[in-house]
Amino acid sequence: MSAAIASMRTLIENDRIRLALLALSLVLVALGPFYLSAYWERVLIFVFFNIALASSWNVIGGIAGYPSFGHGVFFGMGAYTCAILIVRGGVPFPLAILGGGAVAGAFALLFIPLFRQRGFYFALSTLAAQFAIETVVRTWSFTRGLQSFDQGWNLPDLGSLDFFYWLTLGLLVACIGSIILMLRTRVGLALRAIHKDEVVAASVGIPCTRYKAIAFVFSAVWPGVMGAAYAPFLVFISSDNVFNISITLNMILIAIFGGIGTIIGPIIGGLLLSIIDRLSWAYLLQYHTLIYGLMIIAVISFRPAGIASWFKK
Amino acid sequence: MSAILEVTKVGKRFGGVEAVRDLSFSVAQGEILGMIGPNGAGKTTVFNLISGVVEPTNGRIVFDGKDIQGKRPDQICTAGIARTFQTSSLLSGMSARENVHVASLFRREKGGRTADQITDQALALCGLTGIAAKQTDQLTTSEQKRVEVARAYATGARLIMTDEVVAGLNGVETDQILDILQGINREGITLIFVEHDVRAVMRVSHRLVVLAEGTLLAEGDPQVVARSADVIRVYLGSRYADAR
Amino acid sequence: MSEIIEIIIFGTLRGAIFALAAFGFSLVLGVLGIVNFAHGVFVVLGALITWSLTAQIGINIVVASLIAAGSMGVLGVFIQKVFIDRVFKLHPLMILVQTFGVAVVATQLAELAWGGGERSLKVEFPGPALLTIGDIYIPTWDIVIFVISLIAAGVLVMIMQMTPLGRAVRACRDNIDSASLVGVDVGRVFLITMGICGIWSGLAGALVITLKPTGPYMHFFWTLDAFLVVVIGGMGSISGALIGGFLYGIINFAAYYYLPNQAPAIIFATLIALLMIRPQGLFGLGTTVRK
Ligand SMILES: Nc1ncnc2c1ncn2[C@@H]1O[C@H](COP(=O)(O)OP(=O)(O)OP(=O)(O)O)[C@@H](O)[C@H]1O
Ligand SMILES: [Mg+2]
Repeated sequence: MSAAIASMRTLIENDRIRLALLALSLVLVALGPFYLSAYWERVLIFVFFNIALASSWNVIGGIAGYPSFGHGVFFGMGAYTCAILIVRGGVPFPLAILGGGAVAGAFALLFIPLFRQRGFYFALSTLAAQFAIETVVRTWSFTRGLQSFDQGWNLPDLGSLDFFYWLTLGLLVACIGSIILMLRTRVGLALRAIHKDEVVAASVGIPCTRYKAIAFVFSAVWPGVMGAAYAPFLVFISSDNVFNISITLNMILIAIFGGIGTIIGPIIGGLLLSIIDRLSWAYLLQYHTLIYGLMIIAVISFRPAGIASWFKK
Repeated sequence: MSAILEVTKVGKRFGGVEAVRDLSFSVAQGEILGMIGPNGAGKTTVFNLISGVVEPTNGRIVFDGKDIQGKRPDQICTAGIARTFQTSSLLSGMSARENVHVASLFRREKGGRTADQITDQALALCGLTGIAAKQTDQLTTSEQKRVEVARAYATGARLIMTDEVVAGLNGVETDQILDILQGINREGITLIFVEHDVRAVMRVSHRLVVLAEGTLLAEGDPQVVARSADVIRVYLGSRYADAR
Repeated sequence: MSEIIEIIIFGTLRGAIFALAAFGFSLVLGVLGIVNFAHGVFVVLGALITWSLTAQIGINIVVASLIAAGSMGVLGVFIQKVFIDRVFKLHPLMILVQTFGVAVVATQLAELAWGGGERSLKVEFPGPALLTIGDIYIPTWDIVIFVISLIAAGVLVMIMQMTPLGRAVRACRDNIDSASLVGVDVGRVFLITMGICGIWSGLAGALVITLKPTGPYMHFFWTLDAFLVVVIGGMGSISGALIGGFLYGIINFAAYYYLPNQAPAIIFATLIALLMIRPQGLFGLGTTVRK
């Protein structure tokens, strides 16, 4: 077993082979609709959403070291923006997706004062912001739906399952690609420095607040975009299913489960957790959440660097 | 000689502790100012105040003719003041080179050079070229201290403050760092040199200030100041001072 | 006017329970420097165990409460020893997520044992059910619980002030490095702190279930409430948590009284504002939380 992992490791460490493997698996995944059943197609769409959300959270939570516990808000905002734009304004879907990202990003700017907090206090402030915003969305007539008694939004049918498969896969690739590109610029080094030691980072000339804001807005825009794509996929959205605190927690769990602060971590975490999730739904319905919780405890207690660390030295 | 840094009646309280009290001194352009004082005298706090890491309770700090008190650390760094830290402040999980590169990347005036060139020059100046790829946790103490100096240098600062950079080093290593610092000084960069090792201070300082309990105890020519009874008293106790 | 007095009275009464549930949270934050996301589990399990012992087995409620509180103390020690201790030196975020996992598992096990719904316990109390102050009617039981909470706070203060154990805990809270330098066994103090946290929170649970229906899923709200109380009152000090509990009780009661729909938004916005203005809490000792 360990020999197998070791030989896999050397294989993966070769850059050419790595690229080839990546391209091959991307092609295989992209061709999914041609050989997957509708059930597995749906599962994979959820996997794509999960990976994109966890990867976005990872930018602020894992790389910059500011554990946002309110990130689900941006997903919900994207979903609501898209729904309201389409249902109320008849805006075309692609524009509504951009709108979702834009609104989430603009809203993220309001969170900037919270960066005066650190650690637990930052986590709590963002969590409180999530609950506060969720309450407003739940009770404000503008966001409740078209009728006074509505509790959410019904969206028109905008495409087939295959369409959503390719759409979410495309957005996921764009999301991860943009993160990789951003981290290659000096933003990446600035965020790592801020994570390690903010005093030192500032003392070598990094305007920390600006870079934290960049990271936060960036990591809010993508959940906004994904939320906007999610709304018509789900057809009916309400604060219960898109502003739920479990969305925030899932982002965090997936990133940590796979390996926090790495690009590959959220991908591995998203795949494994989603599949474990599905399987335990299917076979162990009653114990599903229990197993989920046990996995989290096990990984953090025994492998805190995440599953990805198995494949490194 | 014109003053590059002027500290006027600066004070800092931490709750009940008055770490720095009505402190005034100035640093001339191009000099190496030694700063000594017993443990807890407030030397590190003075660096924190100048570099903007803590805000003064009162007083003025003027760098290059401009007020800098109340400015953020990154603004002060960009204005031209860099520092090292008493306890190792290298960013873990990064190589020695990356640690220096952070500073070059965020430097405003690069003088027509690329960040990479600046980094490589700073590493070379501090004798780190051969170990640039090492991770910080694999560096010796001496190498760590030199990375700190290289990083401060790479910011393009005109004033560099070093906080106990030779503490814990042997004679050869100490001389190596002192040579580096003097080299940096010859480029026209002003230095404030905080150190407990009096031999090292005497070797490099053009002028000396002595802090005790947050205030200025003595100031002037290193040879003269070091022999003054007051200074010996705070360092060694009154028995030694009176015996002289 | 009398409306405001009523809000203050009922808010304060309710606040005592919030305070009782937050003492342990505050201590753990002060001593270990961590936020335990499974904190609310102590309250909820303390409540459900009391319910089972009393309603199902027929044990006297006082004894049942003490057993429940004691077993939560054991649970606290267990969580510290088996889980938190393992990742203590890592990034505190890890503990947040790890204890969240503990909370999920504990809730699931509790749902297997008690079901997902809520349970409540009516206490037969000799004497009048209502007391009147002026023209305000107050349930006597609320006052009894208020008094019990105050006594529990007093006992905790005495333990902290007068016993060697309390001194060791306080030493660790004030400065962990110097405490370990002078020979305090920090690991043991952490265990004891989590044990105390479990006992007092479990007791809070035992009281809560006599006031309102309680179910396993409610643990997260109790964790949040405790955090809020500590943010208001400042961490580490018991008197801070007590005042924080009262203030939070009043804010909470007022928000639900005047704007029941917007109440969470108001409460959380207040919290954020407080965190921005005074991160060390209104009456806090100062920010000594780990980075
Ligand atoms: N952040 C802080 N909070 C509270 N007190 C502080 C803080 N920083 C420094 N002090 C106090 O200020 C005083 C001066 O400390 P400082 O570190 O500046 O001394 P120092 O001269 O650098 O000593 P050493 O030679 O030991 O490095 C000390 O009493 C110290 O305890
Ligand atoms: Mg010092």
